[in-house]
Formats: sequence, C-alpha cells, structure tokens
Amino acid sequence: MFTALFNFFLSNQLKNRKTLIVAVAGIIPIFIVFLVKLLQPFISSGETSISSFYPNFTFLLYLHFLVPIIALFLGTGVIADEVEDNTLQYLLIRPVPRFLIVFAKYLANIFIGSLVIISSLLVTFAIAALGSSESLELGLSFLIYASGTFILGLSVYSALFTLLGGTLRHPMVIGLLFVFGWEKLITYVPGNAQYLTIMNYLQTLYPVSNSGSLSFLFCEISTMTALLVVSVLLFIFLGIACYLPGFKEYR
Amino acid sequence: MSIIKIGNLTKCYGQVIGINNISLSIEQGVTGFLGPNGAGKSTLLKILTGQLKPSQGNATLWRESIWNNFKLNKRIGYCPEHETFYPHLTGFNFVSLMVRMHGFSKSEAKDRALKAIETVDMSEAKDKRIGAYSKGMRQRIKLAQAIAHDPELLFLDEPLAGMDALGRREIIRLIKNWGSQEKTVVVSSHILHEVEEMTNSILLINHGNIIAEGDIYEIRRLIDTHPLQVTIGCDKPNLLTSKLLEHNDVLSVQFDRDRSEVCIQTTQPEDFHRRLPRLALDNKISIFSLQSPDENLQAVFEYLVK
Repeated sequence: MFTALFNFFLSNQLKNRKTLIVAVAGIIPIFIVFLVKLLQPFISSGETSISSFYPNFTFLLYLHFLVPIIALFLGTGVIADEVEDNTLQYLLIRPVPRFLIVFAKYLANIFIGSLVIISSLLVTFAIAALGSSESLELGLSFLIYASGTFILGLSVYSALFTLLGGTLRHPMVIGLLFVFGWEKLITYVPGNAQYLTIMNYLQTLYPVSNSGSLSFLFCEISTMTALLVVSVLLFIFLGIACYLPGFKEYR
Repeated sequence: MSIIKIGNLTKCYGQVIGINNISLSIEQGVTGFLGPNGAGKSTLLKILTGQLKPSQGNATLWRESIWNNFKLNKRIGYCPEHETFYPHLTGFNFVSLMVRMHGFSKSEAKDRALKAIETVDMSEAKDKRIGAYSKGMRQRIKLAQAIAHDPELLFLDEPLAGMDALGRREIIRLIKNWGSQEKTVVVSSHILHEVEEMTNSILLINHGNIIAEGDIYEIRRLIDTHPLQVTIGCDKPNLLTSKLLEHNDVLSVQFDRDRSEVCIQTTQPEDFHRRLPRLALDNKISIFSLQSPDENLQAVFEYLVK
C-alpha cells in the first residue's frame, strides 16, 4: 500500500510545476559558483580557493537558504495542495490510512528535494574544484557530511511545514516568517536564544569551521546533542502532521 | 438487506446546516439522489464515503460506521462531482495508480485499469494527459477510477455532467447494468430526466432535508393533493369533457388549439384511470392517445420543493 502511494506521489510530483521551480532553485548555486570561478582571476585576495570558499558558500547558500526554501515550498503543499486542487478526495476514498497518505507524499517530496540539492551540490563542487589540486581530499568527506546535513535539514523543515500546511490557512506566509524571521533574527539576540532555532542544531552538524567569519552563528552544542534534538523535532513534527488528518475533515 | 443506513444524520458547517436530521436506508440496485444544486446531495455522498464526519447521528455501510474506517473503502467506488485531477498524468496512469492503492499488484492494477478504461470507452485516449482531455473524457476517466477495483457499492456524484447525448446514453446503460449485477449504485443529479432514466427508486433532497423517497409512483401517490395532469386525444372531446366533469375529482379541463386533445386535472389519478376505459366504452369514444406529462419527476420535484 505504501509503495503504491509513494510511487503515485513520485510520478505525479516529478511532473509537477512545483518540482520544476525547485529544480530551478537548485541551479542558482551552480550559476553563482560558475560566476565566481569565471571572475576568480580578477579577485586578488585568493579567497576563492576551494578549501576556504566552498564550505562557507555551501553553508550559507544551501543550508541557510536552499534547504529551508525547498522544504517550505514542498512541505506546505503536502496536504494543502491536495485540498486546494480538490484531489484529496481521490486519495481519501482508498483503503489506506490517512497518515500513510501524508507520510508517503512527505517522503516523495524529501526524495525529490534531496535529489535536487545533492545534484546541485555535486555540480557546484565539480565547478569549484575545476583546476584545483586540493579538491579531492576535502571533497569526499565534506560532500558526505554536507549531504547528510542537508537531507536531515530538509527532513526536519519539511516535517514542520507539512504540519503547518495541514493546520494553517496561510502556511507559506507563516513559513517564510519562520525561515527568514525567527530562524535568522534570533541569531542576533544575546544569550541562549539560538537554542530555540532548528538551524542552530543543523549548523552544528555541518562540516564547516565555527572559528572563522561565521563564528557568531554558532553556540556550543555537541554533535550528538544536535543530532538528537533534530531527530526528536523531526519525529514530533512528522508525527503530528501525519496524525492530524485522521481527525480532520476536508471539504 | 439495507446496504446503507443513515440514522438522524445532521451535518453542520459552522452555522449552516448541510444535512438536517435525515434517516434512510438504501438497498441493492440503483438509487437516485435528486435535488437542486446546494440541496445537500454531495454532502451526503461525502459522508457516505467517509470524507466528512456527521455532526450528529450515524451513517453506516454494511452496518459499519464509515467515518475513520478506511478498510470499508475497498468495497466502495466514488466518482466526485468536481472536475479535478492530476493533469500531468495520463488517463491510464491515473486509473492504474489509483487501483494500486487498493492493494493490487502492478500487473493486476494495469489489467483492471485497462478494463475499466475500456468499459467507459476511453481506450483510444488512455495515453493522453488528463489535462488535454475534454470535459466528457474527464467524466469518463473519473468513472473509470471509481469502477476499476470492482466495488460492491458505487457513489456517483453528477456522473453525466458535461457529457454528450451519446455518452449519456452509454453511461446510463452502464449504471443500469451495474444495478442489475447485484451492485448498489447511488447516483446524484439535479437533472430529473437523467435519474428517471436510471431508476425508479429516488430520494428527493432539498435544503438538507429528504422531502420524499421511494418509487416515483409512490411519491406521486404521497402528494395526492397535487392534481395530476392527463392529456387525452379522442374523437369526441366535447362529449368526453362533459362526462368527465360529472366527477368531483376533475378540477379543470382545457382543449388544445384544434380541439383534438383534452387536458384535464384530477385529484384522484387512480380512480380516474380506472374510470376512463368504462366511460369511453359506454359513450363510444375512441381514445387515440393518453399522456400524463405530469407524471414525471420534474412535476413531482417542482411541486415538492415549492
């Protein structure tokens, strides 16, 4: 039953306009890296060497921007799109529990989102590494950890936005406020407020130095704590998002 | 045995009452839900397919509550009213993916989808994107997804909407056929003659209330205060008129332009029909035609919803 649902959502999502927009979003970093590479001979500081430039670039552009945006875009539509398009009725009359419908679509979205982000990451890495001798050693371990963090980030943010999409009337607006309001502004609040953001835990897992120019973004958390917190949040958000439709009516 | 049972069912949308304390039972065969747009037909079908929860009362299929009982969905098929789809999928992909959700293997789902698509005469267009379908084709593919898993109980919400005359005739034939195959089919429509062609068993719904239910002729009897109109074509209309007016149940008589037909109104249709042959024989009146245009659903419906 789950396989049938997952296949259905995957088939449908792959041809969806939203997926196309997500794919276009994945091209943005490629374009930027290409531009940087093109302008490298004219930049005097040498900051564009792969070891110094690439981790910070991916940290800011992928983790802080692309991951939450793609999660917001896909997550809020898990239930809301079906309700809006009036297609949910085709699914609700099948002999499958409602939570499975949400879960299958959520996973199909994670699959698509991850595919876009990882593909984009690999292409940007290839462009950045072009003609650089130091690339391979940094590359393999970095790419594995970065990809893992992105998928985890995509999962936890998508779970939150799936929940918002299933409960709120304007989930996209609330989601945008959360991503670019709460998650960003709280970084500048003194004290321990950073512990209240998801990004705080995700960036702890990210393979980038926390002693450089981005050090103000970090607070002291162990990798294990960060992993545990993100996992618990993911479990809670996704659990509620899947549980709610069982009691909700969709007109 | 009643397949569908509804007891004191009420459905409210905030302050608005969608369904107002109705009770009914439906047996095997074709049953028509008839009523104007906004009468509550779709709400009732959505409750019966487990999409909406009753505010009060209960709705059961095979004596099991349908709300939050997804396993029952294996036995039911539903063709929604709204023309909403996954436009990027082809008709065949849409139907086969929907069938797979009923637990069929990929190959079986494919076979069932092909069979259902063939039943609704969409085989030629099965590989086109649904977004490129005409209104009638979309209607057919909606029907295909409803029947592909061979359900025992079918709910069809305005199944003939947007179809051409030939298509309508074909779908009406299919619906009647399903009804005769020991299946239960519930059809909703706001077009009276459509339902009339499918079944005699109807439920008239208006403002969330059932205003009449049963056989069309039984309903006619229920409203015996509403005069029945009968048009009689005969060779001696004046004589017939004078004889008919001797009875109190005949309220009015009207001649057509060439005075070859008499249109009468009677409050006792059964007595009238019993009396007429004897009256014609005794007075040597030749009756060429006898029509009761009033005895169709339109007349009953218009009268009841007034």
